[in-house]
Amino acid sequence: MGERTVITGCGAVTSVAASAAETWSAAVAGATGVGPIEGFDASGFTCHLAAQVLGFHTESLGVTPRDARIMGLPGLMLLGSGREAMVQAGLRGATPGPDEIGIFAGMGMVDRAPEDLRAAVAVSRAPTGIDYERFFGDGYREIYPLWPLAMLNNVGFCLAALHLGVKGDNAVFSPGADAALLAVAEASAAVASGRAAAALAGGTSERVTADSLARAHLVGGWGEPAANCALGEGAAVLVIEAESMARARGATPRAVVAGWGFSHAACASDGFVAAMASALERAGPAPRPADAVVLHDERCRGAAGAEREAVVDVFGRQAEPMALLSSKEMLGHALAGGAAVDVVLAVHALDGGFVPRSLIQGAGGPQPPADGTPCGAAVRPRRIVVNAQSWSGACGCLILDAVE
Amino acid sequence: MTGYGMITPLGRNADETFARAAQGQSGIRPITSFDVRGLPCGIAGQVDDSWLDDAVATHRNGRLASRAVRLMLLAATEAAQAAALTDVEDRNRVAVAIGCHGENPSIEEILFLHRFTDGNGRWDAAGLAEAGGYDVQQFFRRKPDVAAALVAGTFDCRGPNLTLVSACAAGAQAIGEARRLIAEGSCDVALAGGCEATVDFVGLVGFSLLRALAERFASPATASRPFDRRRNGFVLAEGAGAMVLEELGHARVRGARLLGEVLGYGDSADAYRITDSRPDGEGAALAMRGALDDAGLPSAAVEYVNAHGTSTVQGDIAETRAIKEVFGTRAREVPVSSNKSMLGHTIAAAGAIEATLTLMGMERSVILPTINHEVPDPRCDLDFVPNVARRQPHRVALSNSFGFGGQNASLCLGCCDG
Amino acid sequence: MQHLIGEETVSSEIRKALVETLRVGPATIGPETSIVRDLGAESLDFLDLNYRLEQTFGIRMARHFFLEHMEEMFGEGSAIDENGRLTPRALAVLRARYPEATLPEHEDGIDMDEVPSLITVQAMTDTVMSILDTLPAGCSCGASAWRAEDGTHVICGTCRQPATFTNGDDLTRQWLSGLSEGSGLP
Repeated sequence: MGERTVITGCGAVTSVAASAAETWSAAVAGATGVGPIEGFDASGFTCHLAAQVLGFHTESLGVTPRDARIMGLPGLMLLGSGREAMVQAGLRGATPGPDEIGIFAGMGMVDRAPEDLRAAVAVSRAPTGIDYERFFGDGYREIYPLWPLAMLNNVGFCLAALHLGVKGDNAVFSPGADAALLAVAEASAAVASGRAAAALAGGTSERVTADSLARAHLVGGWGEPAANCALGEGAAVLVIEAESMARARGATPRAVVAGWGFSHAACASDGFVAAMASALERAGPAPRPADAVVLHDERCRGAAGAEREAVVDVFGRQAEPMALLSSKEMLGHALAGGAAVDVVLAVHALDGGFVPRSLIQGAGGPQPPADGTPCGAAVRPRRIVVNAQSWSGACGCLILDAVE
Repeated sequence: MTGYGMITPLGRNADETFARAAQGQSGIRPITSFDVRGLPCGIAGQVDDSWLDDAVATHRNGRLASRAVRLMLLAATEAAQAAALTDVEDRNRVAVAIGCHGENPSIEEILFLHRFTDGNGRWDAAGLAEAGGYDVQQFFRRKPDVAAALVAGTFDCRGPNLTLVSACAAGAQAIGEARRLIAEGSCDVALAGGCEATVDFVGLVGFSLLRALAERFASPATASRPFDRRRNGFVLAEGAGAMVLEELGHARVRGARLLGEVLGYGDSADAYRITDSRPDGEGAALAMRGALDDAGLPSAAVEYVNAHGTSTVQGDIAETRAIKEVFGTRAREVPVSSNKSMLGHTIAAAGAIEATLTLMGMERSVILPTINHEVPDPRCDLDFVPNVARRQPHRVALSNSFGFGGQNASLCLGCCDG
Repeated sequence: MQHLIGEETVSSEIRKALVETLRVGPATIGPETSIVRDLGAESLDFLDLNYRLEQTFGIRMARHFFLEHMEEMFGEGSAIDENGRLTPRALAVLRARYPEATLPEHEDGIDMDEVPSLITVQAMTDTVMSILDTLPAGCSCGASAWRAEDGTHVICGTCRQPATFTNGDDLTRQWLSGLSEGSGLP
């Protein structure tokens, strides 16, 4: 199975901050990025709240307007996160070279941008709506020619790789939250087997648009609008390396990628059980069973209960002292971006030695004191489990250990 | 590989496709399913609609499934049956890896939304919701992971479930990732493949706007002409391919037939330009060498290359250079052919269909031709197995898939002695 | 010759488009700037550039390069030989099209891939101007009252219909026919 793989760098762009470190500080401070949706009128939807990334300054990314337009917010966030992670890991020098660095990511779906089609629509307008004869005749030629590129899921990923200067082993998974954990697992396997000297792994959300909102509504049937149903925007990237290579290079491991497991089941609870069991088997024993679980905490489908049942199923009585965490209240449901940010939060918790109170979901473990100081099982976590699930029922589980 | 299946413009199952391809037939015809009058390219490789009726008849999910998913279900059924997949006991150890990027919305659907926006980010969401909002069918059609989910549900595969969206490389990446899952012990068996069904107005318009499609040709059947001097773009096609991959010991224990082997997988990112591949073919060469390294084989062991060969002016040159780089002075001795000359470019399905055809070719000692090879291009000066299939035993091959965006994948495939 | 839209306007719009597409400083763009060699444009950028100019001026730029038109009009091999190099005939056409260009000196001849680097800002300006010069004498409504709206869109002063120009591909073919008949090229 190869040697131990570690995380040596983190990067993130979220609705609360434009970096991983600041996102962590925001979590410690109990901030939230959820608010009324901006940029378009969402009053027709059941939920009017989202955790959007606003004011993300892309000029410093050094991307041409053309590329920025094609990448869109998801691709740009992936790029920003990737840069931060690479800098933190000290990966900007000559070795390892671009051919030896891999990149794996979970990406969401891409929604069409109406402005690309506007000219074609304008030219084909008729009193009845659209003159399709005109449109299919030559009206379509008014469509912005790079529109098809923006519509392909993987081009944003490829442009991010291009701008990061990464040319090695790669794969892009889609479209659910589990895709980010798949990316981390594949990146770990790639460096453990020597296919890559280092690998970037992460995920990015979709943009909050009328399209993505409509999709989430179709999946869930949300009912009462509340903060816990909000969609989110965000991305995160980690740098993963074999431990010996990291240390030889002088990089500081921040956490160990101990295990992973994936499963697909009709019943959510079964899926989580299988994924967690498989991940624990791969991770092997630890001095204590998991100290905390970052729940996927699915709120769009009313399936959160199934996940908690699965945790109890897998850990039995050992689940009682575990801290159950969720980033959904802070960051909304950011699909693959959310799962990747969950991994970043877990890394900071292991590295920093505590779990922010604002992430703890109540049941499970001693209640944190009112003044917000770290406590109980949240003190010095050594093993954290991260769960993710797609709306199609694919479950993923990642286990991270502290670096001893 | 313990089972395979495919449905392509040339055949409703793997044997049919292979037989016709061995005769050098083309599956490319004028498009009749929608009006192509305004488009500069009105041909494609399409699957006969009547073959899809089987999917509806025999699958409980068939009626719900969109076209790409039906194609996937049909290919997966053929593969699963060949492998007797139902015999595998532990379903938690059966994974699914599919290359698929979803289907296109129709122009009408796209333009419907235009009534509710001013094109400057302002949406009339209330009006949209009142008018019927977002269509459920469209939601499922566009979602990339529906194929993987339905395959998992239909064939009771409860292990890891992956959807690869790397465009033209997705099918090959799916097979490569499946191989890795088995090698690292995450599963014992995997159903891996790819599907594509984007021969519609949006698909044609998209590639036409990028000037990627062949626009000048004497006839539909001669439009796709990889490595030929007159090539001027690719021909879009649809289809699906699937294979059942299995850990060797596991296959032996249950007495499964060993039909071929995925020896290695290599991939790279061009990180050069979005649509122009690196002219020196370096990214592609990296992927091929990676596949060989993964297989533990030298380039001298390779006896055939199934090229990506899309029939674009620059792409074919870059691939030629990459092959020369990997094989050195031996390059002209290695036969190289492109199935796309007959099938067209099946995008996300291509890697899976072509890897399967490669393994079938090794099984039968037949190397499929590159048809429409009439005027050689001095810049593409390898043995492209022009026009006529060749009877030649061969045991090790490479199958290339280089995607839009610069994701390059290469599979090293080998014969099994049964 | 139309007089509604001047060369200065056209070259200014081209510079604007280049700055936006390629994110280069306007100071780096002069008439002799090669869009490929000096500004690093790739084929995708030409799609974008052409689109912007089409939208700005209401014209249709050519989809195919003149070498491709030659091959179609005068037969395979008339412009590009079997080694991908320009034939003497194509060279003559190239000189006629880019009279200001300094052609690379090679023993074996110019490779077709080198030709895009000859496209300068001035060449692009000339191309747009030649399309604009195909402005018909009058509008289909009968009036001869063309106006330039926003300084770049020619519309009929009477019925407000936008002007229809000859599309770039047809214009290229007309020009090639004219060259071939007129000047006794090889």
